[in-house]
Amino acid sequence: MKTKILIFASLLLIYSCNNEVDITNPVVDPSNFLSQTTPLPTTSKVIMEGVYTVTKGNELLGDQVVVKWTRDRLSIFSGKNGGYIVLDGGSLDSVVFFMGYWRYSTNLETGVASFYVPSGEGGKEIISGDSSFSTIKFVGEYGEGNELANNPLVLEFKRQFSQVVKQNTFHILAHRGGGRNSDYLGVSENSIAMLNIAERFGTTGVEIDARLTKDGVPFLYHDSDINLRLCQKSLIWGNIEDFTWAQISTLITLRNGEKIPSLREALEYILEETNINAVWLDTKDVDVVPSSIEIQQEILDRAITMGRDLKIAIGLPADDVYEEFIAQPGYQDIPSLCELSLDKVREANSLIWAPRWTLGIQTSDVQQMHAEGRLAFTWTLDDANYIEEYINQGEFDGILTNFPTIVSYYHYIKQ
Amino acid sequence: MFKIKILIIAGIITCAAFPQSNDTTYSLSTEVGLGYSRFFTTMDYDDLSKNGFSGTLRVMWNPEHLLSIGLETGYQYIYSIDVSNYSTEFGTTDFSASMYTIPVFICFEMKVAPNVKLTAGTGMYLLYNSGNLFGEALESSQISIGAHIGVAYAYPINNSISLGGELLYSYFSKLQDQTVAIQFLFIYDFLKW
Amino acid sequence: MKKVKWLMISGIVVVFFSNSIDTFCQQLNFNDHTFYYPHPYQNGLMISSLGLSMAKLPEDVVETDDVFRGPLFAYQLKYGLPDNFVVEGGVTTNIVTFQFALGPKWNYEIDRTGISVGADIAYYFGQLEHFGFDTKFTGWALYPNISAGYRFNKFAITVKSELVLNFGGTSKNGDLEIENDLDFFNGWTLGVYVEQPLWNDQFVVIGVRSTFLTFYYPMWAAFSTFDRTFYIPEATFTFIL
Repeated sequence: MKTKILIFASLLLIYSCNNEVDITNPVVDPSNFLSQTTPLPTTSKVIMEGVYTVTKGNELLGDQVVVKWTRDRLSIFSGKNGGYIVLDGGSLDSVVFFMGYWRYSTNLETGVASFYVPSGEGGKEIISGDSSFSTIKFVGEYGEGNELANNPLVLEFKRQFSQVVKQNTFHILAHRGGGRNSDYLGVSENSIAMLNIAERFGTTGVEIDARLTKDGVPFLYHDSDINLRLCQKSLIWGNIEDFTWAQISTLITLRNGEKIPSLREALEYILEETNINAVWLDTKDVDVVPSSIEIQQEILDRAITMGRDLKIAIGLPADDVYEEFIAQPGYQDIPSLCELSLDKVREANSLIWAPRWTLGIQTSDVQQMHAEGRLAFTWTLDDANYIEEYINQGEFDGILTNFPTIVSYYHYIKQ
Repeated sequence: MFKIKILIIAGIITCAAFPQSNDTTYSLSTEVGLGYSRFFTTMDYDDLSKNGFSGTLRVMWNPEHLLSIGLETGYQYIYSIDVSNYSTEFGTTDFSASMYTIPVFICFEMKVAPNVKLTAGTGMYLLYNSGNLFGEALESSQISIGAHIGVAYAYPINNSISLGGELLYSYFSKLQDQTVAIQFLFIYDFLKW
Repeated sequence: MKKVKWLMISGIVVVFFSNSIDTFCQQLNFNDHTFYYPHPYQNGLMISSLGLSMAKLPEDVVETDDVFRGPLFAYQLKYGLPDNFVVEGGVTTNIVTFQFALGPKWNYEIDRTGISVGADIAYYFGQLEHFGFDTKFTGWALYPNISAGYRFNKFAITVKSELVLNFGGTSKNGDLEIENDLDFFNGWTLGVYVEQPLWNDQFVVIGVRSTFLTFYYPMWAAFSTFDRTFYIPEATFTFIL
């Protein structure tokens, strides 16, 4: 009897535990207060951007933060645990109000956050667009989980972004369209919903993963098979490229409830609904190369017509994809991003060389690429200590990361 | 006469050194299980059929102690569904899908009481998925790691054959779902030494 | 008379072999053949084991739902000391990573129940120079542990728990080297091990272990940045040598 109990208990030990995550989504603006405010004009937004000292709330955000407008949200990036705040805002009378949530990138801690900029401490000047005023104070509170905001938060303007930051284009590329499923952002990787929020994390570019259905439709999906990391349970399993577009669209739902987007839908969304200016189109299957190129060209032509600054590069991660790419007519005029050797970058005439970050800073190789008029990105770098070193010591033109908030922080504080 | 005595002595030594079958130290046995399997899932489809056939085939090495070790394969029905006039964004269609699996496992058994043993195994499930949607066949397969545990009772009919039953719980990592099977068990010791 | 002599010779032969088998069964000595079951070892007794464990790596880190992709080979050695002490050491590897551990244990047994307390200190290092890596990783760990076991007639079952404490170490990618930023308290483990003879006096161990960790050293190359505890179950099969 003892034996059976012990064995049963030990089996329970394995199967009773799991890695399921329970994340709180804080309720922001329950009284819909911001609907009473007036949206801020673009001229007002730029005034607020800069590096701020945290005078209250250091336990949450550390000693300094970066304040940056990202399309339609005000984002605040901190160096502590990859912390960030995403705020929606507007003005009422001569006060600027913000409401939103804070979150740590590296874990699941989150809560509500709210600020106001008093009339006498920058509010009036922000609303009027007076950029000569530099004493801006964000006065606010934050809460933990679903608790009401009752911990003080005060940010005081310290300085603008440095000339190094302002004059150099640095690409903050978000992995999988904005983040991974394992980051528990509430939306699925490689989905339209993820592309919609990516810029709130400081993202200026995205990496997305392209595959091809059985009937030749390119779509976004990272893994080779249908699995529960990416999808909800369904009645079809196996290699996702064994199914047609209609079958996938009908039977597969991504983990947070979205549909799998086609490549065309995703690039059109990026072009028309976002300010994202760089797309790393990672080629997960060799067969998708011709279709990807066709759609890439179409979207780039439309971007030119719209006056939109948008780069889309076909990713060449492996030798088979590389061989398929250079077999395409006019491949040297097709914007591409090559992860392989420098010689292959040159042979493909790639716009961008992108080595894995675990190969080091490789300054001399990066300088060679710059001398040839090419860019250099590195991937996929998440460790905050390494991000700081790569930004300060390296010469890469961009970092692909799952934590664009951390890259944003270290980039914008650079002097 | 002398030769007869030598033969008798040789026979006695042989019998003593290699015991009678009921004193056998090692054996290799085949275990065949046939029965019914029920699929347990969090998928919510009214027409999903979760009951079907289950069969296992094991070859076990049974040394003189409590523990046996061997290899297992078999067949297990997982689910099937058949729906007419299934409404989708692409129009209405008939839809069918089914899945079965073939395990390839390493298996351990431990005697815990007379004629009763616990079984546990781990390895790969080969998952086979098929069906039809929009007139196009759905065909795919993949590997899932998994494990099973079970309890079996087998009564020895004679020195080589035992009959009984087994209750088996199987977990499929890829599906994050499980089956429970009840099987009739036939065990045959085909080699002893 | 000759018939009687032959019968006696035959009888002696039969009895000799029968007694050998019985005696053989009675000679199984658990204390000299078990590795996990806590009991005092003879001073100077050395016992070693060679095992394989497979872990279900956390899907959020390795981005696959394939379980048991983390095979670890382990060679361990125990050396009996006076006053119920034993020193235990070993090496664990998955080829790109090695961990060397060493530490004392104090054992106590009453009847068929044994307990031990101990602490191991470990150094691990990993190196990978292919597949887009030019990377080295080192670190130190401390494993305070406690075990309790019960010896049945034909097998022994042991429950062992460890704390996992991290300190020191660096990682190096290319020319850039950075000190590790791991939490000191990494997590804990709880394992159940069943030791029994498989054939003759060849003992084996079948074990299952639940690990609750933020950082799992065999996965160092994933450079996980998740600041939360993962549940990592392991299954172990070990030969006592």
